[in-house]
Amino acid sequence: MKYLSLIWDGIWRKRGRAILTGLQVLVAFVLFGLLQGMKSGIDDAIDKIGADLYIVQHATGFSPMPLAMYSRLVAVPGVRAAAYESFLAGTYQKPTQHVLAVACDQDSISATIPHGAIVPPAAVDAMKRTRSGVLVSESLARKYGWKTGDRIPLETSVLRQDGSLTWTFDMVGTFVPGEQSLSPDFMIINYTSFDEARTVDRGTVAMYYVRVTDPKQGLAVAQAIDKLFLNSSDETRTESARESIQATLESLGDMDFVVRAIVGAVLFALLFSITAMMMQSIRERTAELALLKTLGFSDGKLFWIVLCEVLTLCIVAAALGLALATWVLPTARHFTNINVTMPASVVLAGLGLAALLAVVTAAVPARRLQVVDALAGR
Amino acid sequence: MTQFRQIAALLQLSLSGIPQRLGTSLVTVIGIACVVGVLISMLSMGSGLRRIAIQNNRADRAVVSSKGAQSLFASNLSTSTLAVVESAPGIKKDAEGKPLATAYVAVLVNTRRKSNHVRSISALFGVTTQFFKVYPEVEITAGRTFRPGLHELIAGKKRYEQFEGLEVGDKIRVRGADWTVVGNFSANGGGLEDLLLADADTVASAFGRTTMQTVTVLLDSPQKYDEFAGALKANPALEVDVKHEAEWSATITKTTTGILDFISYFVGTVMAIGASLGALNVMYSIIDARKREIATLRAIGFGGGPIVVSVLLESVLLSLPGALLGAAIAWAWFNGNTVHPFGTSIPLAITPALVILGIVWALVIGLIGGILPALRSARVSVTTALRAT
Repeated sequence: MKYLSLIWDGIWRKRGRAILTGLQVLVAFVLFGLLQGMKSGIDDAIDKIGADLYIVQHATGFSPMPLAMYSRLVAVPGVRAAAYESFLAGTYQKPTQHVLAVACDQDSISATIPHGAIVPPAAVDAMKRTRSGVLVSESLARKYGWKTGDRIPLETSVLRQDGSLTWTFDMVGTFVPGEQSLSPDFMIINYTSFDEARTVDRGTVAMYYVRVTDPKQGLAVAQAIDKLFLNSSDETRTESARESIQATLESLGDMDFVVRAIVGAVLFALLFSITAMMMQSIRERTAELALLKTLGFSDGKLFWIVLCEVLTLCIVAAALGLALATWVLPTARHFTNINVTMPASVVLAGLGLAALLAVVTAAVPARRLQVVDALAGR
Repeated sequence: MTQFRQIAALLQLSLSGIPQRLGTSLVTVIGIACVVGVLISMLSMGSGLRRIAIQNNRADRAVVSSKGAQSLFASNLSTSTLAVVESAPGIKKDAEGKPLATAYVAVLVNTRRKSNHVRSISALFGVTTQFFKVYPEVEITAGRTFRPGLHELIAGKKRYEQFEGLEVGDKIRVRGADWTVVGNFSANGGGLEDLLLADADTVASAFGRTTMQTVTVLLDSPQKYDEFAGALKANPALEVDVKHEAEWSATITKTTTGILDFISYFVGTVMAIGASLGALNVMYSIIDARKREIATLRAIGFGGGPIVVSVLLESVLLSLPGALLGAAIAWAWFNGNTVHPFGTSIPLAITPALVILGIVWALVIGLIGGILPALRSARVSVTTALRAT
C-alpha cells in the first residue's frame, strides 16, 4: 500500500492519455455489458421458470386441442394442477399497436400460475362476475393509460357470432406479471365467454399448462400425458416450459454467434490499443523506472507497479462502463418487449475480463531495464 | 512556398516517419478494421433481407391485402372479396381466359434445423391453381408439383437445404396426418424459396381456415396498375389495400430490416466512438512525440494552417488501410454464409456499396481522431516546444 502514490502518479502522468484510454475501456465494456447482458438476461429469465411447469401442445404444430382433454389431464398421476389458454391477438386503435389477450379459466390459472403473474383475489372475483371482463398487466395499462372501468376494443382476425371482428372488453383490474415473464405486456380475458362468442375453433384451447408434483418425475409425467393421447387425432407433445421457450427463441438464430463475434472484435481492438499506450508510457518513463531500480526496486516490483496502474485503470473504467450498461439495459424493453435486467454474473465476468486485459497488457512491455542504458537516456 | 506545397512536404515527412511509429499506427489500423468489419457484416444482414424481398419484384404484379395489414398473417380476405378482385379490370388472362390471380392461406408447421436439430417453425402457403403462372420464376428442381386435394407439398430451396426431412419422398406430420414432400423448387433467389407450398383448399380444410391472406395478380402491363387499383378502391363494399409488389415487399420486411439495421448502426456507432477515442489517443501521442519536430518546422517558416491540415490528412489516411482490412475480413468470413434471424434465411453478401459505407465510416473516425490533435499541434508556442525533452 506504500506504493499507492507511485501507482497513482503513474496513471495520471499524462492526464489526457489516461482519460482517453479509460474512456475507450468504458465504451468497450458498455457494449460488452449490453450484448452479453441481453443474452444472459434472457437465459436467466428462462431459468427462473419453475422446473415443475410443463406445456402441452398439439404434436403437429399450432393446432388447437379439445377442451375435453382437460379432465383427463388433471387425472394423470403426478399432475398437481392444470390450466388451459386460448389466444386472441389484436390491435388497439392503430394497426401497429399489437395487444395479446389470453383467454383462460380464472380458478385453474390461479392454481397453476403459468406466467408467474400475481392476480389479487379481488380481481379474480371481479373477472368471474363480469363475463366481458379483462385484467390488464400493469405495464400495458400504463402504456395506453387504461383504468378500471374503461372499455377496450380490439381489432382482430377472429370472427364473432355477431359478424364483427371487433372484440370489446371491460377492464376490471390489473395484475403484476411474473419475474420470469419475458413479455410482460398482455391481458387476461374469460375463456367461457370468449369461446361462446367466436365462430372458429370452438370448444378448443391453444395450450395446456401442467404443474407436476415432483419435478424429478416431470419427464415421466410428460410421457404419460403424451401416451394418453397417442394415436388419437389430437396427439400431444408435452415438454418442460423451459425447453419450449428455448425452442421459440431459437428463431433468433445465430445471434449467439454474432454477439460473440462482436464482443471478440471489440476486446481484441481494445487489447491492441491499451498495449500500445502502455508501451509508449513505459518508453517515456525509462529514466524514472531506471532511477527506481538504482534505489533498490527489483524488476519484479517494477512489474507489479506497472501492472497495478493498468489494473486500476481498466477495472475502474470497466466498472463504470458496466454500470452504464446496467442502467441502459431495461430500456431495451421499449424496442423489443423483452424484459431483462443485468445479471450479476455478466458484471463479474466483465470485471474479470478487464483484469485479464490488464495483465496481458502489462506483461508485454515489461522487460529487464538496464540501469546504465536507462540513465543514459537510451 | 504555397500552402499546397507546404502540406505536401509535411505529409511526405510524417508519412515517411511511420515505419518508426509502426506500433501506434498499427493500433489505429486494427481498431478501425474491427469497427468497419463488424459494421459491414451486420449491415449485410439488413441489406441481404432487402435484396431477397425485392429480388423478383415485377412492375406488373400487384398485391391486394386487407385494409391496414402490415404483415402476411394480419391480412384476411373472404372468398367474396377474392371473387371481386379477380374480376377487376387490368388483370392478364391466360390461354383459357381465366384471370392470372392467385391467393394463399398461410400456416405454420414444425420442422427441425439441420445444423442443431432444434425445433423451428416453417411457413406453409396453400396456393391456388394460377400460382405458377403468376410467379413464373418458381421452377421445380426435383420431383413434381403437388396435386390438389392430396396431402402433398413442395419445399423451397432455402428450406430443404437448412431443414431436415424436406427432400423428395420425405414425410412431415401436419395436423395429425402425414404430408408427403413430392418436389423441391427454386425461385431465382427470392423470398418464395423460404416457403413450403401446397394446395390452398387442402391446407384450408386441414387448418379450419375460412379466409385467405392476400391476392397477387399479374397485370396486362405495368400501366394497367392504376386502372386495377382504382376499380378496387372505388368499390365501397371492399376494405382492401392495393400495392405494387415492391411496396408490399417493403411493408412486410419493414419491421425486421428496421430491427436489424438499428442493431447494426447502434453497435457500429458505439464501436466507432471507441475507435475514435483510440485514434485520438494515438494522434495526441504522435503529436506529443513530434513536438520538437513540429516546433522546428514552424520555426523555419511552415505555416500553422498547413501543419494542421497535414496532421488531419495523416490521421484520415491512416484510417484507409484499416477500412480495407476490415472489409476484407468481413468478406472472407461472412460473404456467402447464411444467417437465420427471426426465422428467415438471409444469404449475406458484402457488396461494394457496403464497403464504401465502411470506408466513409472509417474516414469519419480518422477525422474525429485527427482534428483536435491537429489544432493543438499548431497552437503550442514554438519556444516552449523547442525546449521540450
